[in-house]
Amino acid sequence: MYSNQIYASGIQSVLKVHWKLRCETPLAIRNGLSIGYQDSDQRKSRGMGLRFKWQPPSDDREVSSLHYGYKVVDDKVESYHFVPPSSIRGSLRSWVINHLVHPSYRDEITPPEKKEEARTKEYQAKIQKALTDPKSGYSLVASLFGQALDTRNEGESLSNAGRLQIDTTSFSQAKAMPIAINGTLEDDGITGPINASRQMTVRNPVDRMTHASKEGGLHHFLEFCQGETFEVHMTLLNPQGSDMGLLSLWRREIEDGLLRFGALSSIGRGRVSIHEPGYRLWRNPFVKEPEWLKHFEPNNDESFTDALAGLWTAYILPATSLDQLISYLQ
Amino acid sequence: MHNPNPFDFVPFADRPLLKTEDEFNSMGDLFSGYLEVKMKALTPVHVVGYQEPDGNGRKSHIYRQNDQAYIPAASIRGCLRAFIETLTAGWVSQATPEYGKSYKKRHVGFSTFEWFQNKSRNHQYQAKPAVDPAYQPKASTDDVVTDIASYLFGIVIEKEKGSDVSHDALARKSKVWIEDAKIESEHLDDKNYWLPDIAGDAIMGGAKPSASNWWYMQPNQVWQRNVSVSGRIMPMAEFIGERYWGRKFYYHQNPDNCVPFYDPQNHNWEYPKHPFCKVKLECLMPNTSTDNFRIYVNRIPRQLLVLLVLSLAPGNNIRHKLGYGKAYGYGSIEFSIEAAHLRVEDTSQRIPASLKDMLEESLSWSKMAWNRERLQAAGFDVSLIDWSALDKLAKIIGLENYEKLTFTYPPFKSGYFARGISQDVFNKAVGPKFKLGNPISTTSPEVARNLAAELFAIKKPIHFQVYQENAQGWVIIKNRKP
Repeated sequence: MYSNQIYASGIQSVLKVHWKLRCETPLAIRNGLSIGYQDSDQRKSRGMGLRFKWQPPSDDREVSSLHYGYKVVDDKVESYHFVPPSSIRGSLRSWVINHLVHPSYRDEITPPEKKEEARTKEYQAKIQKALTDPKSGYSLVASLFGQALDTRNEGESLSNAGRLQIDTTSFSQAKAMPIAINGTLEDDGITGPINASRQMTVRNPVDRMTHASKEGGLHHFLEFCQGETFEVHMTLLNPQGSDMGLLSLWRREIEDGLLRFGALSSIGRGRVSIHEPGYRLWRNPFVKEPEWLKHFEPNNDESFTDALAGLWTAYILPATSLDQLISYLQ
Repeated sequence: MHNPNPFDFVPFADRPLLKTEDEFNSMGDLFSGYLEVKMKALTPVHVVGYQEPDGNGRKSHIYRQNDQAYIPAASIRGCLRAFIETLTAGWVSQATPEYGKSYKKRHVGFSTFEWFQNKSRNHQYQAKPAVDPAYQPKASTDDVVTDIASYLFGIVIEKEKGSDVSHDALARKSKVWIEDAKIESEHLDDKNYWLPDIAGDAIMGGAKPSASNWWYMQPNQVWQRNVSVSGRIMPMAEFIGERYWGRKFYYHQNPDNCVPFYDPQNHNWEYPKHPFCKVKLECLMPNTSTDNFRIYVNRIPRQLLVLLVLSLAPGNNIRHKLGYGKAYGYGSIEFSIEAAHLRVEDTSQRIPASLKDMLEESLSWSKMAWNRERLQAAGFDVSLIDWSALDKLAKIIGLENYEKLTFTYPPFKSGYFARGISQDVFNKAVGPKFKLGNPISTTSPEVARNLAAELFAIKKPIHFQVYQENAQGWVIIKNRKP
């Protein structure tokens, strides 16, 4: 049964997951902004002569920007590309909803727009029903990812902040790379962040009756190149057996390519593989051991440092044992 | 005798085949997973990456991502989607909406899915939609129906003005995800292949759809058009079309047979306005393959998975074409399914199953192509297929005896496209039945065919079908079966 009091007894254990993700296909993660480029393309040269400008488009052509952020290094502001944690979180959450929430509830758990008050009440009722029905599978989503549900009555509140926190690191490309355009590298130097290889690709739908390019159909997009890597750090507070099962399923579905990140899955973007997995558990030794702890090995390695070292007992889950934890999701 | 034209058309069915999402979803167990597929080049394959000047012409490098050659996923998707749209009487998902009337370029304007009003000083003419508007992707507020291709590959429909159709009804996510197909460098050849082109903006053989001939359009009328020649007004025959013949596909042929035809040294083709140039192509060589690439399916019902497999491996005769230079023999390919990792999405089970090896079953589906009885016995709804379209597809993209055929565009010279038909010539050739003056209606297909046949000795490429049926090797094409 779902309870929004997920920290009623405090935090008694923390699972820290580390995955290094490698892009097995290009990855398209945008930030809603656009950057401009100039096109001095000669006739029939298909993309030669493009010059990117690391600034918003003015009169030039524009293309959706890949996600980036800024940091200060040696008193200088540097830009860098990274996959936002919200993107990873969103993909994982969507996968759970689409696969573990019963189909009869799936379409009912999308919140309506705020202005639609009548529908908001209807939605709240549906969420309450989903949370009390053990067969709905929705309590998994609400417990792990959090649930925002304002019933205007504190006593009835079903909201919680969730138990999963996700962080990502920036891409780890050490060598500054220009943007590859249709196979050639932009020859006007390096544009924008330099910590990831990027490419600009073109799509050109063809008119079905004439086989000519559809008028207005030609468009470009930017993406991170295959082979780029970045790290994902997940922190699960008070992990449950079902969380272990979820982790195991996520890993399997990611490796199989059925759980993807970013846009354009229709053209195969966003498949990644998991490398250097690490599953470290810290738990209060005075709290009763859960049954699933038998899959973990105590870890007394002094190099196993963390803010929790010395306070709680450390465990490690061998990556090969993860598959066995799927059954805790039943 | 002339060579047949390199492309042909698959006529539209009377109406598109549309169903609701629920109807599609109930076509058997839902499958997820992926097929590992290999693409073999039957003729050289080129997808344009970038082009650079090369002597008088250009060199076209194959498509690359970050210095690695690929056949891009979007090309593979387009190839499969166009085939499935045609095979299953689907919507026309991609079309230029309008070809407006334009001075000296297009006498008769037309729209793809709407009526188009042509106005001139002497004449007003409302051109019918070039495609039955029933084939235009639409979203409605009532039953949300879609075609098979849009169910599989997704679609974004433009919202009509004032429509209150929901966003969900306008956009559907793709259930088929196709990855890029990697090409090893030893399978590339950038020395031996080329195609002809002309200097300037235009691409030689580029599409010029027109409603003032019967090349892209079915016959409707014959008009008299007064043309000024050296200051003198000459009444000429203009052949007005009104509906596209169908969806365009290119025949298979060996580029070695066809490309030299266009070389000016062989005197088959004249280049009066724009000089000839060669475009050298970097190609995936014939009889080499890409690496395996993946085609994912995300919850598609068994029947449509079978259809997807049949479309990938469409029997012994039909093969796909993809990429650049299709008219010149490039881009004939063959897909083979090398592995199948799939699972049934069983909603009664809490946890999705692991993927299982289903190669044997997938290959057994492909072996049913296109036997109605076997398909029916296997529980496949054969009404999903437009069998007339399949028959025509087999004639165009059938491989049977393709090495014996050469397909070339009708040249721009006397007796072909350069030949205008004056009023005198028309009236003399056609006889007393028709006189050029008031528009002659040709809505009866026989009338148009007879007119074209009677004028054939003067100008061959008037009526597309008449031109094709009188071409060298038509018997081979006519007898091809799926």
